[in-house]
Amino acid sequence: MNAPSTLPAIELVRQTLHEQLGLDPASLAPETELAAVGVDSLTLAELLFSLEDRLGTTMADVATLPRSIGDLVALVEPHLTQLAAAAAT
Amino acid sequence: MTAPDDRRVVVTGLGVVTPWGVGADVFFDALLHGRSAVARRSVGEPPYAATLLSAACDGFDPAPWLELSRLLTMDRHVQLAAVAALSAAQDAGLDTLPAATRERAAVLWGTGAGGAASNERGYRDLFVRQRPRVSPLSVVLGMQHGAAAHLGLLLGAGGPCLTYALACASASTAIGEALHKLRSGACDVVVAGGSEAAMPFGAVKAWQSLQVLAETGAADDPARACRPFDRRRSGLVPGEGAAALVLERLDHARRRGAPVLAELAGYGASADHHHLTTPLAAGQARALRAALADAGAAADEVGYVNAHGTATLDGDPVEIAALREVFGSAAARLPVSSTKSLHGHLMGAAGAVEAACTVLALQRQVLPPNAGLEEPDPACAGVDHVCGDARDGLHGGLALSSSFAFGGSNAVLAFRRA
Repeated sequence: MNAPSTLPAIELVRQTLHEQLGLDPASLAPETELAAVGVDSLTLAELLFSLEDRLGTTMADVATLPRSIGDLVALVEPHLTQLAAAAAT
Repeated sequence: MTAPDDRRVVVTGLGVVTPWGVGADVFFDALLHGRSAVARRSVGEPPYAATLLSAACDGFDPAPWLELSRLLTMDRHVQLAAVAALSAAQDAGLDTLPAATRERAAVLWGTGAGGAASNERGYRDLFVRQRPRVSPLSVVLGMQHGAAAHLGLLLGAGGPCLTYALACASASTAIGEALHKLRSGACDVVVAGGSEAAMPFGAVKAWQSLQVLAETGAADDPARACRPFDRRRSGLVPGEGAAALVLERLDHARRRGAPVLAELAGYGASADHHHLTTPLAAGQARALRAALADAGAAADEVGYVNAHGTATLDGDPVEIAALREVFGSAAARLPVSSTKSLHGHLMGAAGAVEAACTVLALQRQVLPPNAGLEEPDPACAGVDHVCGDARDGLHGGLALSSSFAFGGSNAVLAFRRA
């Protein structure tokens, strides 16, 4: 797998969902509802945990739980930007 | 005298997950042919790694049975349980059960270590990898009743959902208590059994410290390391797997046209009240007698005993002494085998896998041998040890399956030919 900071956020989300839940990355569009692909409250917690691991950061202060792939991408994106900035210095 | 049909409880489905794969037949055929699943295996990752002789479900793949999102929330012993239970439900035709009956279906499950491997992963994250936190699924992966809870969800069972933890007697107790629940009318169908995953590193170290695990010399065949009742036995071999029995009252089974594999005729439970780890023949004999009395059977009706026979130095002679005490002079003609020589000791699941073996022996009228027994220990003499090849014919309509646990908890199941 590529280092997270070089991946677009949606690819990181797709890869994580593929590895964790066996979902076909090509079937995951920004508007895809998480519930529709079998992500419930428990698996969402594990998914966020796994994304945090890959990013080496925490998203503990998530105000609203993500409901779609797009929501997850929006959560991940700022952290990728930070990682890229840190890697550049 | 035979009990009325609404008091008799029968086995209408079997689901077995063992090192030989998923299915009762593949399991029983392996036993009849003396195929051993015992090998030397490594557990853990260096520097926290150990080797031991064990039997494990190396090729187990739950993916055809369960979606990944569900597997994520299941410890390995739960995954084994789920496949066993789904397979048993299929065997019994539970998919056609009306919704109202489903609400009166129960799950009674046994496990010894439960989610120990998941818990150990969490501890490793915290204490070894120095991570500041553990997976959010840690609690649900580690909970002791995870298997029963998942089975209830998978089967849509709305009746009692209970977990029994009595070490090596867990699954036998779950199956025996199911008999009581069905006789009392508390539920109409029970999926009962047990599951145990392979020991994680910490548990292996604990069992090694207890000095009850089998060892072999470098020149010996690991596959023959488990030798119940043999002069050269050196200890038990941990096993891995699951088995589920679908149980219901005979009248209920007949009404829905379910196949009747055998009758679960009796259950006896007792406590040694003697010692935490040293078994007592008198305590075991109480459970054996209680099972026979519960079945309304005389000792001479018993044509086979699937023994607990773990191959520990202290345990084996005590079990034979208990059989001699109960069967008296007839013990010498009582066919006895411990199949742990091939599948190892499944701890909390042992009673379920061995109950399945006992049902299959009654059904097929053939006795699986104790493949590890070559030179009977004189201290274990006095019964008719079934060793060498499988033995055709089961005289008498009753077969017993015994489980005697650390802590002095004993459970004996009596099955009758259908």
